[in-house]
Amino acid sequence: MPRQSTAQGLLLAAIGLFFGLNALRYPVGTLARFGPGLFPLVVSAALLVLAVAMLVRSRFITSPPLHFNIRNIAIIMAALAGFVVVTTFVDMAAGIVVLVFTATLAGTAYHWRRNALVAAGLIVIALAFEQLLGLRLGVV
Amino acid sequence: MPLAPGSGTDAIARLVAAKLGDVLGTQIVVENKVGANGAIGTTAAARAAPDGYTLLVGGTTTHAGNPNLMKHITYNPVTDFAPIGQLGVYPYALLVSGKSNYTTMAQLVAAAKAKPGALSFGYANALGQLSGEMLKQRAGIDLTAVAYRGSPQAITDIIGGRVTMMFVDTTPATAQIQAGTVKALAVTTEHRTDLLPNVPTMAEAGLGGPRVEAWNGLFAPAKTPRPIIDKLSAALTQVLSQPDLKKQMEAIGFEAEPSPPDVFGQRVADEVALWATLTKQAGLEPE
Amino acid sequence: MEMLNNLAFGFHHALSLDNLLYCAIGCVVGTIIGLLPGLGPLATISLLLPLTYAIPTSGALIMLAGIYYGAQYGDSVSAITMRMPHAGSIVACIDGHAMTLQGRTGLALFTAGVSSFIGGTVAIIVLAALAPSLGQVAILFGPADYCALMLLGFVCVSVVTTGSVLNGVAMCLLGVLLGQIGTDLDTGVQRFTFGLPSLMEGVSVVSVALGCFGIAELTKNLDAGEQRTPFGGTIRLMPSWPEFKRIIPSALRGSIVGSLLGILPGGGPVIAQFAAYGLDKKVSRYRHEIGKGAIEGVAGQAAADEAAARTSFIPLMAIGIPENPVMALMMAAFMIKGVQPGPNMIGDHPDLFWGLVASMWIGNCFLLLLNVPLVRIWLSIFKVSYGVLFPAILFFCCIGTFSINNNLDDVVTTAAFGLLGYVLMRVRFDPAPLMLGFILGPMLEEYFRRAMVLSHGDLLTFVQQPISATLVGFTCLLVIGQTAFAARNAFKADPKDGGNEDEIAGHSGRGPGAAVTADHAGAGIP
Repeated sequence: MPRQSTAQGLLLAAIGLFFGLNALRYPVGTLARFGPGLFPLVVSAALLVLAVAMLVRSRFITSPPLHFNIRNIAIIMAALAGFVVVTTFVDMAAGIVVLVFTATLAGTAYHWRRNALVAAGLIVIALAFEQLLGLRLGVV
Repeated sequence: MPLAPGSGTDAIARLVAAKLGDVLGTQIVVENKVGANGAIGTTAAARAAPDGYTLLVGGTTTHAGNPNLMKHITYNPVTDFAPIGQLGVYPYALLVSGKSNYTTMAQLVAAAKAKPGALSFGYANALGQLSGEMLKQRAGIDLTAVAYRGSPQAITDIIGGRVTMMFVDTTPATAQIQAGTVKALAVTTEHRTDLLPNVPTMAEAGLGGPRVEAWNGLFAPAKTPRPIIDKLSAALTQVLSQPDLKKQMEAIGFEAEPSPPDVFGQRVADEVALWATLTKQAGLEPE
Repeated sequence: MEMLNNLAFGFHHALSLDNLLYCAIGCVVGTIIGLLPGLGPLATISLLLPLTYAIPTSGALIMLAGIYYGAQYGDSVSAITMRMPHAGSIVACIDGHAMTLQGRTGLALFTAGVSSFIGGTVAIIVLAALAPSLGQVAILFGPADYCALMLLGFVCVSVVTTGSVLNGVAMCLLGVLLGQIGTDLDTGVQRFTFGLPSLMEGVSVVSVALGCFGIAELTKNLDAGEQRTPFGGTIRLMPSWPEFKRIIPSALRGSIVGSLLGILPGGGPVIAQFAAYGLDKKVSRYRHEIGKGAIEGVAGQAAADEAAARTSFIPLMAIGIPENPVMALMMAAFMIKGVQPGPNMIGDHPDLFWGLVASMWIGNCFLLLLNVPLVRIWLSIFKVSYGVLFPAILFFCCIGTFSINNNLDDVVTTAAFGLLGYVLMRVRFDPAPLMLGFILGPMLEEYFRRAMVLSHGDLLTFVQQPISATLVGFTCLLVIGQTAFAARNAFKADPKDGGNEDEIAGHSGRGPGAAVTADHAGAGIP
């Protein structure tokens, strides 16, 4: 695992490069008539400079190692993705069930019964939103 | 109703729906299905059952602008809908600052000719931009175009005299015109509008051309049986001639202008074609 | 005297039983909906607008105003308790949430409530006294002036950031870049949308806020293996007298900042919270505590937010120019009711104008009354096991983003920002400056380009106009001052800087409470 300060610099450099290179595709224009590319180009260049400064700084300071727990964030992302996919193809009630049962995998304990109750409760709330507030959720 | 609650079109739709329900002896529910510049609700209406119970209030944006300005449009404004009738139009007016010396179009054009590029026009939507570009072409003048995110911001700069002029629907401008902080030099409608009876039309000012204005109309899904359309159309014409409704609409800056299904259908087709030419002339690309 | 007469007239109007009722309903409903993550004032008003169609004009407008304030207060509750902000409550996430982690949620919520009340009261005095003349201020500001104002806003980066200023500026720039996503206003070119239709209109601030704060925070709690029940004991709600005394000056400062910035179109209220927080961090007697859960860190920004929300009605009612989307929606509501907001409104509809002003204050009282008993209910949320709470939070994040456009793609965007926010949090970047950049960046670009178009590319336009010249000069002074200050500190405390970072490492293994406190240990030395 890289050190935190190194990771900071690398991450920013990557983001700056990504935006900067993409901005090159847009016309730059003139000072009187800015093209769409000028502003992002300037900002991403500034970000790159900062990233380099951070990388330089990371040589001189000791910084803690990087902490990263891929499991939980992956579970949460999967839960959200599942919610979107199931809601698109079935309906939101099913999406909620998927969301709850997937997301709770990230908790310390897993209870089927409790999850079923939470999902049912959320479906009721969603229905209430739809009926009382006129949100168009497409629950069922 | 493909636009958000609180938009001008939403207010019009609700006013008309209430009255139309009275005439038809039922209750009409206005449902806002918003998103993607109105494209989401319009698509939904195009796919709805053609039984006359699902109707759509469409307008310039959904039935002329979007098909020419957006790439991913899955409805055809002409073939997917059976037009019922036009509701009316939002007249567009050319505004200048109340403090400026311009009182007629001729003065404005002369000033623009004297100093090419020094005068500017603001716009906050495609219609305003197109009107400005058309003015440039017809009057043979050079103006600097300034983009805004919304009409109110643009009007602020007009009042402050930072931007010379702008074409805008009268909804946000009425109060300012009354207070004298801005002046309307011309309207883009065919005839003088009741909203601003003293303001000449562009044609009267010698800068005529195709009428550019925002309009709204009532649509049913295509294949809705003709008798249903005729019944709705008759009811709509009756509703729109009620003086109190007209007055409520005028307060919003909307001028009732009913038209029968065929005339309205023709207008929609014309508008789509007009927008296609205009967007090409103005160099706008579908997004 | 005339002002007192007018106010009395307004109160007479607003205190009718019907209007009181509408005001109360608006506040309660607004608070409850605003409490849900992602549903801010804009979403709440547009959801509830149809409900008001059937109500008499003044009642409807009073109710809408109530919904607006209620939603704003509800936002700060969810920011303080769950670190789920909306645009108006980003700063509340810093100290407010830090206080929650110390188990002082009750005090934080009370502080926010009282400060909002103070902010609202000050703003109403400003509104009643100056509305007719103050409206003109908005017209005086041109693109160059706004541009200078935005630049001034960016100076706040150095104060909202926790940790090194270098990191803060970098986060702010990242926010600006993220704000570039979407259709370019001037040319209609799609920037960084990668052909995705859902990105065409840009990323909504809700997605960024819920992703970078909400989802990232939630995952972090899960990583800590935390089944959180920090409120086992009794909940202390009322502050002690010394604590209460700390609220007042800070809230008053915030009220003034908020009242002034709220009048200016374009992001005034959002900048107000950052500016008030920054001011407190510079002048408060307890400035060393700010960032670590200080009362001032909550009070100042809450007052500013509330005050700005009120004074942002001034341009709408005095000159008929809505300055932000919420006000545009309010304007539409006025117009549906046949009232044309504009220079003539105060003269034509004095009952409406003064009634609304008075009901704003009445709404404030309602919110305060609501706040005290309801705080216990908000807090009881946390007695629920985290295993129940976090799927529910996740669900509300989904609903909140979905309801903006009724589009599931926005939920995907929020999830993506959750991932980004998590990564940023893990490498110890702070999301608050990112939000600042995200909100101000697009406006800076817009005004800068407009100023350039109008001046035909002449950069001197920024120093030729009095307002922008003053603002630019002030910004320069601040930046020079900050840099000198930072340089002096860095010179003095250079060897210690590394030590501080080590200290953070020592704490990061513990619960989030410890981590946040340690996070802020470095804040004093930028």
